[in-house]
Amino acid sequence: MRFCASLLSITLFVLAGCGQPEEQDYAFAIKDVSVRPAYQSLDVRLQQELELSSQAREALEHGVTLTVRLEMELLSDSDLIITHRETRRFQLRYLPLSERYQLTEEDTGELKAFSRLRHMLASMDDFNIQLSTGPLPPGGYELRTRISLDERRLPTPMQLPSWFSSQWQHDSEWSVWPFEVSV
Amino acid sequence: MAFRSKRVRRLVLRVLPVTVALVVLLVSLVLVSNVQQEDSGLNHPYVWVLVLTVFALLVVLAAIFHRVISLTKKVREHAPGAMLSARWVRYFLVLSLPPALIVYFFSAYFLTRTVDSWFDVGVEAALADSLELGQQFLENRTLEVRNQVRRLIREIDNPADDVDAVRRTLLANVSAGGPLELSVMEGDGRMVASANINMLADLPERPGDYALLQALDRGEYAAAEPVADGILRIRVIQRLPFDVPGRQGYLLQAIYPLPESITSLANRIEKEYYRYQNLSFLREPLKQSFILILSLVLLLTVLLAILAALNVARKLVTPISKLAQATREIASGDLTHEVRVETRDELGFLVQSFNEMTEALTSASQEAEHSRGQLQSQSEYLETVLGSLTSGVLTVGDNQRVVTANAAATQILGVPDGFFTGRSLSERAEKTPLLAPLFELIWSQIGRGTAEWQREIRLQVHGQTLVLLVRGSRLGKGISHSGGSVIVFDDVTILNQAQREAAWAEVARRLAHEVRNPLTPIRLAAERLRMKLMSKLDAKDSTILDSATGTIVSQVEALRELVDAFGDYAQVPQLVRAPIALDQLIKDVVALYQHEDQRVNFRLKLIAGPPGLSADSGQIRQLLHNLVVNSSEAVAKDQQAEVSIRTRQITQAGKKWLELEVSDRGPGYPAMVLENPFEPYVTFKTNGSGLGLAICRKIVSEHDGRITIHNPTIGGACTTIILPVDMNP
Repeated sequence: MRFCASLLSITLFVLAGCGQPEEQDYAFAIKDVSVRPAYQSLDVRLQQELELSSQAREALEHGVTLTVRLEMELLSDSDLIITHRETRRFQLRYLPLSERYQLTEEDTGELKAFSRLRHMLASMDDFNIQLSTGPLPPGGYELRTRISLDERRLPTPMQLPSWFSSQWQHDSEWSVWPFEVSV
Repeated sequence: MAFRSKRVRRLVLRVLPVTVALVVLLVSLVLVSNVQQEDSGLNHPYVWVLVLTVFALLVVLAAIFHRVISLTKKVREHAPGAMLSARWVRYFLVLSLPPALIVYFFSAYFLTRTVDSWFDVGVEAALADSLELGQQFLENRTLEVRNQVRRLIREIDNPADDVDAVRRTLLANVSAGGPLELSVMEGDGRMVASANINMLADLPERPGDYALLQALDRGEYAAAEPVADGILRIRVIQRLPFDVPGRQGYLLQAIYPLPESITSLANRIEKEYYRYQNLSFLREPLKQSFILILSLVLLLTVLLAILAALNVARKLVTPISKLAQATREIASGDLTHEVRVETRDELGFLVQSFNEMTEALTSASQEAEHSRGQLQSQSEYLETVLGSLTSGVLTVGDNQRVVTANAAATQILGVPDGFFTGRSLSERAEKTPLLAPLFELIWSQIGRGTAEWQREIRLQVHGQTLVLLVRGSRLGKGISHSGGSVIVFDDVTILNQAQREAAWAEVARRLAHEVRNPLTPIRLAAERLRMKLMSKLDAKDSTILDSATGTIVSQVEALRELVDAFGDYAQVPQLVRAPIALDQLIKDVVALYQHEDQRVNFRLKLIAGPPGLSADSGQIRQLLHNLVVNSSEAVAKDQQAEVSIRTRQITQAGKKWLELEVSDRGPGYPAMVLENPFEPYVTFKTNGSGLGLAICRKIVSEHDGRITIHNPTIGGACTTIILPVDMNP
C-alpha cells in the first residue's frame, strides 16, 4: 500500500512539476550591482533579495544544508568574450542545539551565526565582493550576475524531485550590468 | 573474409550498443543504489546517472522494438521458423515475467517497510530529549556566565574616564576557566578596550548586528554561538551603566568557553539529531528514489528477459528455420540444398541427418529419374512400334473401357484420333452403329474369358465391305495394370479380295482356254454344214437349217464374247502410266455415247486436268466405258435419261485424290450387287457378263485407287472412284 502510494507520489510529483508554474512568493533577485574598478580587480557591490520557499525553509529546519550559488561573468563589450568567471557558494544551515542559523562562505570558510533565518538572508542582501580580474584594458564591459539555489548540492533523494518542483526554483536568471573601465 | 567482416559488422551494429547499454545500466544502478549515503560522492552525478540510465534503457528498448518488428514481419510473411520464434519468446516471457514482478512487488514492499523501520518514535523522542538536555545545559551555563558578567560590570570603571583602568580590570578577569575574552565597545561595535587570555590573539570579533541591537535595546545579549569546527562558546553582551552624551553607551562583551567534554557530547547529540531529522525529512524522497531504482531494475530485468528471449529464440530457431527453408526447397524439387552444420548438439545432429537424408533422396531421385527415363523410352519405343504397326491394336480393360488404341486401329476403322481414349466399347458402339458388330464381338469374347481367340468379321462401312481378322489375348494381372485384353485386328479386305480375284482370274483363264478353242471349229462346222446342205434341201428344211446354223453361229459368237470378256478379266496388263487429262478423256467417251444414243443427256461437271494425275489412258478409257455403259443402260428406258459425271479434287489422310462420280436416276443397284458389288459374274442384266464392275475395280486397284458403289437416297445409282494425284507434279 505504501509502495503504491510512493509510486503514485512520484507520478504526481512529476506531473505537478510539469504543470503550470504557481505564483511565487519566494525568489532570489539581484536588485542592483555597482562595479568599481580597482587595481587588477573589481570591487563589486551586490544588492539582492533572497527569499526561500516554504519547502526550502522546511528542509533547512530539518537538517538539510542549502547552498546558494552566486555566479558572475565579466564580458568585454568589444568581443563579448568572457574574460573572467567566478562562482561563490554560501551554505545555509540550521543548528538545532544552539537554535542558530549558520551562514558559511565556502571559499573563505567564514562563518556567521544568526538567531533568525531572515537575519541570515538579510545579511546577504548587501555585500561586497572583490573580483581578481587582473589588469583590464580600458573600454566597455558587462558584468553578468546570477544567484540561485544549487539543486545539485541537495541530498541525492531530493535532486530528481527538485528538477520538477517549482518550490525549488529560486533562480534569479542572468542580469547584465554594463560599466566602463577608463585609463 | 566477407563472412568475417559481416560478423564484425553485426557485432558492432547489433551486439555492441546493447552490451554497452546494459553495462551502463548496471553500473548506473549500482551507483545510484547508494542514494541514501550522503558522503557517497554521488550527489552531483545522481540525476545525470539516472538520465543516462533512462537513455540506456531506451537504447535497449529500441533494440527490442526493432527485433520485435522484424519478428512480426517475418511471422506475417510466414518465414520459416518465425512462428516458432514468436512462440518461444511468448513462453519465455510468460515464464520469466511473473517471478520478476513478484520479486519486484515484494522488494518494493519490504524496502518501504525497511525505510519506515529506520524511524522510531522512541529514538526520535530520546534524541529530542538529549538535544533539549544539551540546550538546557547551555541555558544554565549561559545564565551562570550572565551573572558573572553582571558582577564584573560592577568592577569596571567608566571607559570615558580611564580606559587603561578598564583594560587592567579586563585583563585581571580573563582566565582559562572564566571568560576567555573580555572587551568593552561602543554601541556601534567599535572596540574601546579588550583583554584575551591569549596574548597573541587577534582583535576581538565584532558581534553581530542583531546581538548589538538586542544588547542596546534590552541591556543584555547572551547566547551560545557556534564557531569553527563545531565548537560552541557563550557570548554575553551587557550594557555598562555609563551614559555618554551623544552616544549609545558602552557594552561589555564576554566570551566564555564550554568544557570540551560537554562540547563534544553536545556536538554528537546535535549531529545525530541533525542526521535523524534530515533522514526523517528525506523519508519520502528516499522511498521514491528506491522505488525508482527498483523500477528501473525491474524494467531492465524485463527488457533483458525480452532481449534474451529474442536472442535465444533466434539462435535456437535458426537451424530449424534453415531446415524448414531447405525442406521447402527440397519439396519444390531442389535437392542440391545443403544446410550448414553450425552446432554439435542435437540440432547439429538433426541438421547432419537432414543432409544425409537429402543426399539419399537425391540418389534415390536420380535413380528414379533414370528408371523413369528408361520407362519413358520403353514406352515411347512401344508407342512407336504400335504406331508403326499396320495392324490395329486395342487394349481393353475388364471394365470394358479402351485403355490404348494405336494409330492403325483408328485408321482401319476410319474413326478420328482419340475416338477410343477412355471410352467404353458400349459407348463407342452406340456412337458408331456400323462398327457395333466389331465392339460386340470383342466384348463377348472378353466376357467368355478365353485366353486367346480369333475371328473374321465383315463390316459395311461407308458403302465398303471391310473384312477384319480379329485376334484377342487376355492379359495377366500385373503390378502396373489390372488385367484386361489386347485386341489385334487386320484389314484383310484386300487380301480377301485378292484371293478371290486370283481365283476368278484362274477360272477365267481356264474358261477362256478351254472354251475358246472349240468355238472356232463349232462355228466353222456349222457354216460348212449350212453351205453344203443348204442347196440340197427343200425350202422348208433349208429354212430350218439356216435357222439352226444361224443360232449355232450366234451362240458361238456370244460364247466368244463371253470368253473374251473373261480373258480380259484374267489378263494381267502392263500399266503404262502417263499424265492424263481426265476431263478430256471423259468428254471423248461421253461424245461417243452421245452420238449413239441421243436420248441420254450427259451432265458434266469436271475440273480441268487435274495436273499430277498419272494413269494408263487405255485402262481409264475402258473404266469410263464400263461406267457410262452401265449408267446408260440403267436409264435407257427413261424418256429424260440423264447421266451425271462429276470430278473434283479432295484430300484424305494428307493426300490429294481425284474423285470421279458417275451417277444416274435409274433403278439403282440391286441388293445382291450391293452385297457383293465387285464379285465377278454378279449381274442384274439379262445379257451381262457380270464382269463390268469387277473389271472396273481391277483397273482402279491397279491405279492404287478405290471404288465404291451405293444407291443415293434420292434414287438411282452412284459409283465413286478416287485416284491418287501427285502433290508435286
